[in-house]
Amino acid sequence: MAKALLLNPTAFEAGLVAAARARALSPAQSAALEAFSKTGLPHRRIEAWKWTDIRANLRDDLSSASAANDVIAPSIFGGLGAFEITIMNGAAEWSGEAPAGVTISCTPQGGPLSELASNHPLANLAFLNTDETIAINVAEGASVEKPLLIRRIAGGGAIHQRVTVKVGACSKVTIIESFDGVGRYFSNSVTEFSIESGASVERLVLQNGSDDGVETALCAVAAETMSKFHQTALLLGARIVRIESRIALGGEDAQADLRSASMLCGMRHADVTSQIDHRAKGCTTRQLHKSALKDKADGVFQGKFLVARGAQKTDARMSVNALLLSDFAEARHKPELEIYADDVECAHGSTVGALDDAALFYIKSRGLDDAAARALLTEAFLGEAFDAMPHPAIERTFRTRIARWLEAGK
Amino acid sequence: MLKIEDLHVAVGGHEILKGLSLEVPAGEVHAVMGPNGSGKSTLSFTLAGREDYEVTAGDVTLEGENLLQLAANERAAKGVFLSFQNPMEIPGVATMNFIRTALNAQRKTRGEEEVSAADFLKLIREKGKLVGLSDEKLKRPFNVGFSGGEKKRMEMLQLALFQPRFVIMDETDSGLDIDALKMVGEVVNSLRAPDRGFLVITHYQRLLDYIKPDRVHILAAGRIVKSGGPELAAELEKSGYDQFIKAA
Ligand SMILES: Nc1ncnc2c1ncn2[C@@H]1O[C@H](COP(=O)(O)OP(=O)(O)OP(=O)(O)O)[C@@H](O)[C@H]1O
Ligand SMILES: [Mg+2]
Repeated sequence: MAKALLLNPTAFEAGLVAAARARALSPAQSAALEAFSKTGLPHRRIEAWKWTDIRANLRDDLSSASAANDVIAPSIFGGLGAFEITIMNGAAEWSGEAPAGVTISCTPQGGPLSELASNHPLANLAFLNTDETIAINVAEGASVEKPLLIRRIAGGGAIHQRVTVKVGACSKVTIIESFDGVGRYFSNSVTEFSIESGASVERLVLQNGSDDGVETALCAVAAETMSKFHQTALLLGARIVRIESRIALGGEDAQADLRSASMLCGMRHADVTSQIDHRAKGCTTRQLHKSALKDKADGVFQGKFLVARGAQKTDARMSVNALLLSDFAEARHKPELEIYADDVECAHGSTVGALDDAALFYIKSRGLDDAAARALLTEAFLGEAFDAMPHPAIERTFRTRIARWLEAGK
Repeated sequence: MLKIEDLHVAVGGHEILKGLSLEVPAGEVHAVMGPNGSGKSTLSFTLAGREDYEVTAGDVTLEGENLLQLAANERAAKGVFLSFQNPMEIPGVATMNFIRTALNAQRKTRGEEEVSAADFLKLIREKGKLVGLSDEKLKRPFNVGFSGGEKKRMEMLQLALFQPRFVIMDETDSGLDIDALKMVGEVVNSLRAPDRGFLVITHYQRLLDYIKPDRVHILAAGRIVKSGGPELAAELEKSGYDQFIKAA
């Protein structure tokens, strides 16, 4: 029973709600449906979504879900010997035993959304549409060498998917999430991390959707005392992509390190949005975002640091740089600080520019042609986001992907 | 070898070179001296092929071939090399990787085979030693955080490594210590050959003590106003540019 339905739902929204109502929902899912029915899909008149209008980009013309195995190339992370979980059109599959210290299970429906995800319209949508939640558990003290690779592949239709990751105290784990897609699809996922004291998580994201795909991925992180959350993301965009991170540094001396790069061509749009709540003393955040934008591409970055009253000695720095490689490309940045403590060091900087003509000329005078000189400088610009990553083989994988994009344009 | 005839160049809509003519025969070293702002760097950038330097009139040929219609990288492949007055820092680009890419790009344009990684490593280490740049410096991002003198050494390293046919040196001596100055002299003198030419831009006689020029030209207000033998540099050192500018 949905009450207070959205005033003017689009056909697509009405379809989403009708499909959800036809399912057997848990009480928590029913509440999520009610919440979603009130808001609908995020759209441009909501401040946080003003540059990424999901509602306007979703119509009832999605391709029907088809297995996309044969059209999607093997994962470029294949060589790492990672433990792979494939999620094809929302259905998860894996084989073999999870690495020592890790348990992976599918739970029907799953528990309620974590605090940071629960008021997110798309997380609610994912939650109420998910039949099974993948729950990853990393045992206390485990140091997991083998990366876990979560490969999401969208082959059409509306796909909703949820993963929870519980990282036990003082453990270490590397989780790669890749997002691929073909055709016209809406892929919506939520990944929730709960990181206990002293634990360390390395999250890597590689997103490459189709020209018609709409992709939204929320990552919600609750980080305890002295834990570390490092994230490195590379986005190639889609029709519309939003990779969002909501992080609460809830214990003292927790650290967040977020690096991301978007390289977009054609009409692609990618939105990197984050909010980091500093709730305890002595937390450190470093954030760097870079984008290289060709053709008519659209690069969005919204980053917010929130420092609570008690979070003294917070040390947080954000830097965002866009490189416009065409006169028609657009970069939109919104860095924000909201600080309620007095003894903190917070800074942000944002730049938008083109390649430096003097540097280009120097390189060409040494024998590189114009295209090669531009590629060299663009690679150097984007590469900063991948400097000195803890896992050299993963760093090489990212750099190889950047070089391929510069060469092939995709 | 290099022949410049009645060259007019505008930068940002201002005419900087106003009918410059100059010829450097193969095997010779010519020095160009002139006051600040007279157009020396404009000349060197124009010869190297900077696109925003607009040639409004005149000709430049290298061994009879029209240079002006070639892109900067094609000129490099033909053997034109400019040692920059202010070399660039290129963050994020590893020095060795950059120079190897450049060398191989030149070779590819000329239809030559690429140099292998192993051969290149040997080559660059040897040239590094020659110009006084340690392996550690060669592993850094290109010129990043280098001192002015170190950047000039990096230019000389590339000169020694590329072995170009025609060399333009734009104030390579500025900012160099005595030992480095001597090194520059040695690099240039070792490259002097009957089929190679040099255009050496400088403000000081000092460098010319190491590199004996065949001819000295005075560039003032966008033109060569006087040419002569090596004694012209000594004369300038004594009495300055005034007499030549007035005479022109
Ligand atoms: N973009 C520009 N727009 C207008 N004028 C310019 C521009 N670039 C250079 N100039 C002018 O051109 C003139 C020649 O400059 P150039 O750098 O060639 O001099 P130079 O002889 O190399 O001087 P120096 O001895 O100081 O190195 C100068 O007056 C300079 O201000
Ligand atoms: Mg100059």
